Amino acid sequence: MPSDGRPSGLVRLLSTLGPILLIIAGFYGIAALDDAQRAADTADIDAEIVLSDDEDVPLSALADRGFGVYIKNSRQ
Amino acid sequence: MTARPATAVLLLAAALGIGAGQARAADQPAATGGEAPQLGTPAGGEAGTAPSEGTAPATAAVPVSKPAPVRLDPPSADRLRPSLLPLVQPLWSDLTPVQQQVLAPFSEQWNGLPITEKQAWADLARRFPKMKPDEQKRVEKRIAEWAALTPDQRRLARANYRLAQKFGRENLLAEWENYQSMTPEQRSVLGSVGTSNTAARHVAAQTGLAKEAAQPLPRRLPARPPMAVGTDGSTTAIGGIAPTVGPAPAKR
Repeated sequence: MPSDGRPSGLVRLLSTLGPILLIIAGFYGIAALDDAQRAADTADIDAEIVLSDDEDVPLSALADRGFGVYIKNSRQ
Repeated sequence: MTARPATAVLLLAAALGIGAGQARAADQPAATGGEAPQLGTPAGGEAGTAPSEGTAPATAAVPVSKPAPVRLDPPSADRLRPSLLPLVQPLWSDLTPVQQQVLAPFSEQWNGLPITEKQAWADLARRFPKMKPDEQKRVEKRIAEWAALTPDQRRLARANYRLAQKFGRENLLAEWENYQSMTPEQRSVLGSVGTSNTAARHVAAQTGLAKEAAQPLPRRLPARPPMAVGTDGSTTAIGGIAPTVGPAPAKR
């Protein structure tokens, strides 16, 4: 700290960059949490699909693009 | 008073010089793949022997640097392994025999699965022994079906499952039965987004207009070439590009 009471260059630099770095870290954290949540949801759905007792609707039906369009059209 | 800054600078320079020298000595084996340090960089604690003579031959430094590769490589590998392991765990070898038996269809692709999926499957396999026999049979079958799907098919299945969740179970079954009642040609047309279910059912119609109506709507109108209708009812592309979706014109 200089004798005239003004903050030194390092302090000024940190006070400027600090909030920016915090915001970047925050965005990164939110994105990472979002990715983790999405991955967990995906894994849960996989297990849910396998455990579902819709024996008459095979998994190959869900993987059929045409059936997906058919379901979507039916809802409209 | 004036000597202080000069002393401080000298001390700093000395400290930096020593630090840089140590850093170079530490980096060199790693950068050269574990090879021995070259001349002038005595390894170990034997630096005080040869240099004081001032006539140390080059060969005198060689035996000193021998143990370097043996000591440096194994610890660096050990340092990396614990940090990387959580990214791929549980490994196939970490699963219990029961889990491996239940998840056998995944054995080939297990190491490539995302960690969250691995954990979900491992959890499911852990619950497997507590299921009823008929449930076990069904789950085994569906696991085999799921493992046989490609990543793209799995993405599609998840999307369709989310969509189907908005239906009741009976509705989904009814929709599946209705869908199965369509011909393969109708289903293939339906696979293109932009076709209604009713229109798709007319894909095999005898009239040209109904066949045209059964085709998927173009995604971008300007990209579709203008169509000309002939006297016999057939359609042809004016721009020389024929429509790629749909069956051949019906014979009359």
